[in-house]
Amino acid sequence: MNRYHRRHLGRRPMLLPFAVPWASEAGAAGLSGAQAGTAMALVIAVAVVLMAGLALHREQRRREVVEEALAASKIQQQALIDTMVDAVIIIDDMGRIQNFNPAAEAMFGHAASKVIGQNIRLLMPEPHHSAHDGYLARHKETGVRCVLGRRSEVEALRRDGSRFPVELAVTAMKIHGRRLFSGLLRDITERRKVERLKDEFIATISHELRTPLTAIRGSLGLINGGVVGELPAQSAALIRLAHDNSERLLLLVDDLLDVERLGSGRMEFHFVSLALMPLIEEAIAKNAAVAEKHAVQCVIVRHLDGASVHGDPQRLLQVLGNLLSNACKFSPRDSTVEIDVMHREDRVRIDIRDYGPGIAEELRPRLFSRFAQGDTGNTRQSGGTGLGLCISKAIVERHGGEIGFVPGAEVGTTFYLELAALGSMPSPNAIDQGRKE
Amino acid sequence: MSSNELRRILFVEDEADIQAVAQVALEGVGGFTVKICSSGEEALQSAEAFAPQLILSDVMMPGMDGPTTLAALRRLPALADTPAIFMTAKVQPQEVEQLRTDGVIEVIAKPFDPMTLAQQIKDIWQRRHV
Repeated sequence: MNRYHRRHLGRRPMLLPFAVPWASEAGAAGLSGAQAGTAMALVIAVAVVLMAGLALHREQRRREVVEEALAASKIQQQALIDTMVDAVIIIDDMGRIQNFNPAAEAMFGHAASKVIGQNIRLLMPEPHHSAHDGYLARHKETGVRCVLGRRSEVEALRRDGSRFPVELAVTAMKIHGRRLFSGLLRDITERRKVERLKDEFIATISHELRTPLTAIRGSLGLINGGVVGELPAQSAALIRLAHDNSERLLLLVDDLLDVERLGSGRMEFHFVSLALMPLIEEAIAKNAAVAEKHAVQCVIVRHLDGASVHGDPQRLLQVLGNLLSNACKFSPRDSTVEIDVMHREDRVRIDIRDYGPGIAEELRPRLFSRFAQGDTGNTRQSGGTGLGLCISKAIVERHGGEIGFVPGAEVGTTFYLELAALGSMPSPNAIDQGRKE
Repeated sequence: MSSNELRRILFVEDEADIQAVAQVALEGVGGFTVKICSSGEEALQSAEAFAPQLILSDVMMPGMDGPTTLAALRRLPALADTPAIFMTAKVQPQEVEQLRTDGVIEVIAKPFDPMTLAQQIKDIWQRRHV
C-alpha cells in the first residue's frame, strides 16, 4: 500500500459527515433507495478524487519546496566553493575533473571550462602524473589510501609547466552510487619561503652563537685541562666555574633550537626498530660524567631483554639522557639512581628513580612546561636550562608515548617513559631477572 | 710508528680565536703537526707543499666556503684522495646530511671539546684505516 492509498483510506471516515446531508437531500427529492445509494457512491467517489487531487497537489508542493531548498543549498555551496581562497577540485573515480573552482583556475592558470572532464593528471608533475590512475585503481580494488583522509604536502603543476608546493586534503564521497573525490588545495609557496627564511635565521643564530662559544669553551677547557700549566687554586676554581657555565650556555643554545624546531614541527625524526636495553645502556654510559660529578651510581634493577621499540635512537637517547642527568643532579651524593624496565600491556615502561628531595608541590603542574625550574636554591644549583623536560615530552609524544613522574612516598621521584612495544614480546623468563650492573 | 699513523693535518679556519684553541688542542694535546690556513685560497696555496694526511676544515668562511675549498683541493692530484673532516657550527640534521654528501668522512660539531678533539680525530682516522 503506497503513501497515497494510506492517506486516502485514512481520510475516508472524515467524508461521511459531509456526504450524509447531501444523501438525505436526494432522498427528500424523491429518489429511490438504489438511486440514492448510487448518488451517494458518486459523491463519495468525487470526494475521493478531489481529496486525491489535493493530496497530489500537496505532495507536488512539498517536492517543490524540497527542490527549492536543494537548489538554494546548491547555490550556496557553489557560491561557497566559488569564493573559497583555497582551490577545490572534484574528480570522479576515473580521475576526471567534475568541479574546478575559481581559486583553482587562478592557482593553476587553467579555465574551468577547459579542464572539466579532463584527467586530474594534467595538474600533476611526475612521478604522480604517471602514477595517479594506478592510485585510483588500487584504491577502488583494495581501499588503499594514498592521500585520503589526511593532509599532505605535494607538488602541483601550473598550465605554464611550473611546479609549486600545495597542501592537499582529499575526501571521498558517494553520490548515486558514484564515487567522487574532493580535493582542497592550498598554495604553500609563501609558507615555504617563510619557513626557509626562518631556517636560515636559526642556522645563522646557531652559528653566530656557537662560534664565540667554541673559542670561550675551548680556551677554558684547555686551561681547565691543565694543558697550559697549573693555576693557583683560586684561579683554577674560577676557570672551572666559567667553563661549566660556558657548557651550560651551549646546552641552552641547543635546547632553544630544539624547542623552536619542535614547536614548528620541523624537528626531523628518523624512526627505526630499536633494541631497548642497549639504548638504555648507551644512555647510562653517555651520562657517566654527570653521574660521576654528583657521586651517583646508575643501576639497572630490572632488564627486559629482547624488548624493542619503534623510535629515533638519537632523540630517545636525548630523552633518557635528560631523565638520567636530572635524576643524578637531584640525588644526594653516594646514592643510587635505579632504572627499572618492564612491560605494561602492549607497552614498555622505563622507570628512573632517584632518592633526591622530590619535586616541590607548586612546580609539579608545570614541570613539563618551558623554563619550569623551581626558585629554591636546590633546583637552581642543578644548572639545567629548564627546557629539557619540555623537549623530552614533545619528543616522546612524537613517538606516541607517554612521559610523567610519580612522587616518592617520602623521598625521591620516579620519572617514567612508556613507548609502544614492537613486534614479539620477550619471553617471560627474560623479564624480572633483576640483575645489577 | 706505523706509516698509517696520523701526523699532518691541514686546518682551514677563518676565525683566529678558534685557530688558536684548535692549534693547542691538536698540537699541544694531540701531538699533530698542523698547518693552519685562514681561507680556502690560502689552503690551495699551501696544501701541496705541506702534503697533509688529513684535511680539517670549517664550513662557513668568507670567500670560499668549506665545500668549495674541499672541491678545489680535490682537483690537486696530490690531494685527490686525502680524507677530510668538516668541523662546523652548522649542526642541524639536514645540514650534516648535506655536508656528508660533499665527500667528508665525518662532521665534527662546534663547539668541540679541545681536550678530546685530538682523540676524536684519531678515532675517526683509526676507523678508516682498520
